[in-house]
Amino acid sequence: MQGPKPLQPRTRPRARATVRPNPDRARLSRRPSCLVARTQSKLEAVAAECNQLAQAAALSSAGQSGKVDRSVNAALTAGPAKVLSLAVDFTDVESMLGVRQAVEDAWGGLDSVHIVAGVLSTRTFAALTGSPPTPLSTNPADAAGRLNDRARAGFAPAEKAGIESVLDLARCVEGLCYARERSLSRMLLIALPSLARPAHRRSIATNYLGPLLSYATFLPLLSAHSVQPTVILLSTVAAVLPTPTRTLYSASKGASHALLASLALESDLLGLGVEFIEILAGSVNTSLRTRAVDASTAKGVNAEPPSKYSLEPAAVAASVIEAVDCAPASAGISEEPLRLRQIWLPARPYRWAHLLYWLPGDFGRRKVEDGARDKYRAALMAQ
Amino acid sequence: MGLLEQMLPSLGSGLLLGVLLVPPAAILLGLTVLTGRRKRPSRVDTIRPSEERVLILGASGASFFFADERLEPGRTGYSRRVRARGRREGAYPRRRRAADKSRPVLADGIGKELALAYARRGASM
Repeated sequence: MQGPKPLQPRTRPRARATVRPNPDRARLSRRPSCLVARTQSKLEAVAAECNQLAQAAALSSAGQSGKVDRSVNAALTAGPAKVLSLAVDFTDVESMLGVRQAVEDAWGGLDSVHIVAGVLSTRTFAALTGSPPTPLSTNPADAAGRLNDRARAGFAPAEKAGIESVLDLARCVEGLCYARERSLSRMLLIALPSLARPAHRRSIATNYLGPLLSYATFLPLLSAHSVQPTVILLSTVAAVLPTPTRTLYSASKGASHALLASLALESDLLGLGVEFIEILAGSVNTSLRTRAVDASTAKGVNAEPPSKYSLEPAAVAASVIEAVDCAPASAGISEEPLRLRQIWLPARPYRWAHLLYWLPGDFGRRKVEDGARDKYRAALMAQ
Repeated sequence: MGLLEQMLPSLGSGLLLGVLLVPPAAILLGLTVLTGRRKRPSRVDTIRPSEERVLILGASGASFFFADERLEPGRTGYSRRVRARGRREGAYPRRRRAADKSRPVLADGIGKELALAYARRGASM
């Protein structure tokens, strides 16, 4: 009786390290991009702007060089640059299959998938249970004062509904961890029904299930049809560092981080040739905080001081593209292992904070936690 | 023997110098390894930017556009330093005009910035 056949690493034949001539070059030279989100009007506006920009850049390039390059010529003669925009929910299986079909029909494959999605939750864990958060005495020596504060603020055991709410959350995280070793359909069955609150379901679904569904939908397409496929997940430093008032967000992003790390290694062992890049960004000046699922109830959101390390979206986009372009030449086309690349934005202080946090001893961890305390104290006290 | 006696002090000071220099050198080497050196864009050799097929997945329209609360009517909300940098890069309005005050100000999200950067890059390379 024969045992199970051992896994043969890197069974996929790698392509040569040269530019592969594309049979449909004239069509592809129109800078194909596909934008997916739920709001069609906004996507169309972006697509129109991209097309205008690409046309202007192509004309400028042709004018400067004095001769029209073949690809530029194709871009100019092919009419307006084609940027697809599809208004779908990226946590819905049917919708994502539709996106895959549309992309396959239009371009016959994909080279890069960017996952730029995140939903924030800004409530404290105490608030999730329904108990009022307790602003404690700030004097560390004043133990009696703290006790009085707790009694005065009614820090009583949570009601049944509050405990059930946290239990739902715990089941969710448990289900997600369990599901990492199970199939996608099993995971969806476990995780989704266990979430009672729609807002929290949305948070988990966007932060964890959305990327998961994207990998499940697009990895085979990327692997089969691109010479150097790349998946880029825009994540957050909260996935790997402690962030008060972001417990749910941090948990879902942490699950997403663990999934990506395991998937990257597994994909390499299977020889899929897909490179994974995780962007661990700090504060970015977007509406993430004001769009938090519990923004109306989280009074402390506006009390948070702006981070001195905040980045603008344009700077993040530039760093992401630089990271994609700087993939090792051997990625996906040689026998060298493909590793998950982590890009910290900004590198200082977050990369060093992560390093400090995992150093042996308490010093580094204490420094990082003190920084987090200082940053989130105002928001915590305001809730 | 005399030669050895002459060499010993210099040998000792050399050793001392080595001991003093090695830790900083090790720290520098460690920092270099940890921070990594900047890599040359090499993926563009494999996939032409003008032919790269890119999919950008956002959760909502806010991944591409969002109402920027910092841009309240009549003021930009940005600090002077950020405004100056923004003007240099052409990213932010100098100041909203009176006619625009009634409308919410939409800023560009990361998804849109990515899409624009790809469009720009694809056309120029």
